[in-house]
Amino acid sequence: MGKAHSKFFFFLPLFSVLIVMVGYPLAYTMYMSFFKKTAAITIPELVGINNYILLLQDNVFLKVVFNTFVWTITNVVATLGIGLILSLILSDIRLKGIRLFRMIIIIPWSFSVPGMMAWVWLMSSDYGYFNELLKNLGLIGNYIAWLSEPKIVLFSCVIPNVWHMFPYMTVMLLAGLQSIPIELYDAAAVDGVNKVQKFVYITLPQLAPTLLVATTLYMIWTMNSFVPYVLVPGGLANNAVTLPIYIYHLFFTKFDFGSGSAAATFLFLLNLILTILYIRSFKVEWK
Amino acid sequence: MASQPKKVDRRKFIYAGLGAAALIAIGVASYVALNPPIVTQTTTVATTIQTTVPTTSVVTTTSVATTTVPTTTVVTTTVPTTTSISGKISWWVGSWSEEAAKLLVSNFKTIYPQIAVEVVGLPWTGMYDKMLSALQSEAPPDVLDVAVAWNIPFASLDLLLPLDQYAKSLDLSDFYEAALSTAKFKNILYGIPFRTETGGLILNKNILKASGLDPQTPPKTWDDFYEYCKKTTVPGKTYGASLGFGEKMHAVYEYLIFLWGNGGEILDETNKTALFNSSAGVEALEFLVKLYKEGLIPKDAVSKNRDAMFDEYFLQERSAMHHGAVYSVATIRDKNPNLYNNLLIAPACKNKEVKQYVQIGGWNRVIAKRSKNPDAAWKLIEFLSSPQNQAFYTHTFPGRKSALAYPNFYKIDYSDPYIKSFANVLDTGKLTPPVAQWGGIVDELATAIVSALVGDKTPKQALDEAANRVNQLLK
Repeated sequence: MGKAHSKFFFFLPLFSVLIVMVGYPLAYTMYMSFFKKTAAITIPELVGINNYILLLQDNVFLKVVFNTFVWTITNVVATLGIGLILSLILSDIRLKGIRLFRMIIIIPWSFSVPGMMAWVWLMSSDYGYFNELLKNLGLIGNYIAWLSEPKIVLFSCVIPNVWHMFPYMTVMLLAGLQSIPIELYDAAAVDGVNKVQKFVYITLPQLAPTLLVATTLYMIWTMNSFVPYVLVPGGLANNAVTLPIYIYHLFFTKFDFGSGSAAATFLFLLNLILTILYIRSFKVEWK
Repeated sequence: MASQPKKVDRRKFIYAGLGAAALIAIGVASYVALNPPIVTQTTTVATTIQTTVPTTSVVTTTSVATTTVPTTTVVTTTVPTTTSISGKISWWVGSWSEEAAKLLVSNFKTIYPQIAVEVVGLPWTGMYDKMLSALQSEAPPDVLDVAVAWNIPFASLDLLLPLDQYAKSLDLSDFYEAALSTAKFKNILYGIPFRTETGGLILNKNILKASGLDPQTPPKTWDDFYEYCKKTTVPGKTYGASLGFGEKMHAVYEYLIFLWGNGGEILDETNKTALFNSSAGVEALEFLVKLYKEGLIPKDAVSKNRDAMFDEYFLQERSAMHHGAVYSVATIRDKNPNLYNNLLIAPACKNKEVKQYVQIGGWNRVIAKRSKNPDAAWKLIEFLSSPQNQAFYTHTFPGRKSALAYPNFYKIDYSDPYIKSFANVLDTGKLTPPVAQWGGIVDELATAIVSALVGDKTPKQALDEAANRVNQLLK
């Protein structure tokens, strides 16, 4: 057996798994996106790119895509901000009880997504603790219907998701911070550099690779998240519907397999762009 | 110094791999030898099932101590005592029915010891998706308890076994006609109803009294309903009605009460054109919008489903009225006895002199088309469909009339006047359109209802847009 052949031989199990578990479903979804197949039309009809054209002409689809971007960007910005601040605090080993705090901070991440249902009660318009707390703090006058107002519902869904996911970002960034050589800060101290300058000129550039990897990965997860569906199953007239939820409804509620496949392919392409960015982030040379 | 990568001898590596594979093969072979699969002997059609002359057997059911059902219920069932049908089958049930299901299966085993039944309880969340995915697989569960709303869509996707031949062994005339119609697609029977329910208006007499209303007189018209809502709404304390639109199916169910109560219909007679955007449908939605905008129903009515609204408002005596069903009464009895003693049950309100239909809901039992053992699956359904077992298992009403005379595992007392008032309207139940596109219709209509309630669109605009989309679906 030649060297090249033997390499192929050893990779065969991996290829087989990838083809069966990833390649086939993906190819079949893309293939189905060129057909019309519904509960009423059980024999698929070839319609070319018509499913894609119809989707792009559909106001609901465009709204859902917009929602998806708002949902993803808001989550990433909020989680990244909180994660960065907390990781900076937790990286200071001089603080007492720092190990305990590092453990405690993981707790929200350990909750399952359905476990986040508790937030539905917390954010109840009439009896929710969230409203009570904000009112007692003097931040709101009247109770807010967090999950029932079209203009704020998506942002209300962001709050539990950020609560659930900030530990991930904190832990990732904390690991990044701990890998920065201490000598850099010592040298900067000798040069009389202040804290802000240390953060801007040492911490951020050194943390950049971790930031990019963690953020890209988090963006992919968030884009595919079903959290808005858990909190507002009806979608509040599509105001709390993102692409994966929309695709779910196309497949499982409407049995529209053609349009569902086209929308799923669209989401796949969005994810692909992010994945390429993710992979390329490993190759970036940071100066 | 960088460490050198450890070199692995290729030959040794291959030998080690082969050795591991051999060990796995020996392990699998030993497991199979120690756990021989149950031999499944299937026949192709129901009529070929070999049975001996039916004899009357006595089945003893032992219920759990926490219920008030007599601890030992003697269930007399006429069933064949021997049969050539054997094998292993699985039965997917709602997790809320798992306990009763297991008790019934233990009885089933005494009659059909050669059929092994595995009961799998599924929680409500994700149940539909799991069933749909499993039915499409090559190894689906054999018997499934499905909500009536899923029966026809599953049948339309060719995932269910037609049951007309099998069902000849049942007295179908004893089943509620409306319930049976939930299981028929293109006039073929795809399910056996085992739980049937209807809705009604449940009122809290305490709140009516405190609001200066006659606690013995329920509202009859929309005007009455509005007046009752106005009088019973006390900001920060109580609401007029706890309607729930937060789940698509529930949004449509709430709307249907008002649509039918105004003489409207969802689709035309041919089931090809949407009719809900007619003046009757628009008026119905305008009425709901009025209630919502004036704060007579809770703000969260648009994001929480009917069950959540019941738990958080009506059960806690924070709303005067609720569209509920038999199970609502049972829950109130168990969780708020004070409220139970002050209930008033009435038909839903209507706007015009039309016949007020009651929406029929419930559950049917089906067999997966790809079931490996349909005959054994049918034997289980046949056993479970006896009047006694139907009565035992249901959380509401059974699928057949004669079952009302038997005791129920969940302590539903069919002689209870509250329960009786729901039972009286079972025969006037009305079915939602039996079309394969029902899921899509619900999706579009619910979106329209909520978008009008939250003020994204006017009722007419929302319903017209939904009707256009539904008409596209029905083409």
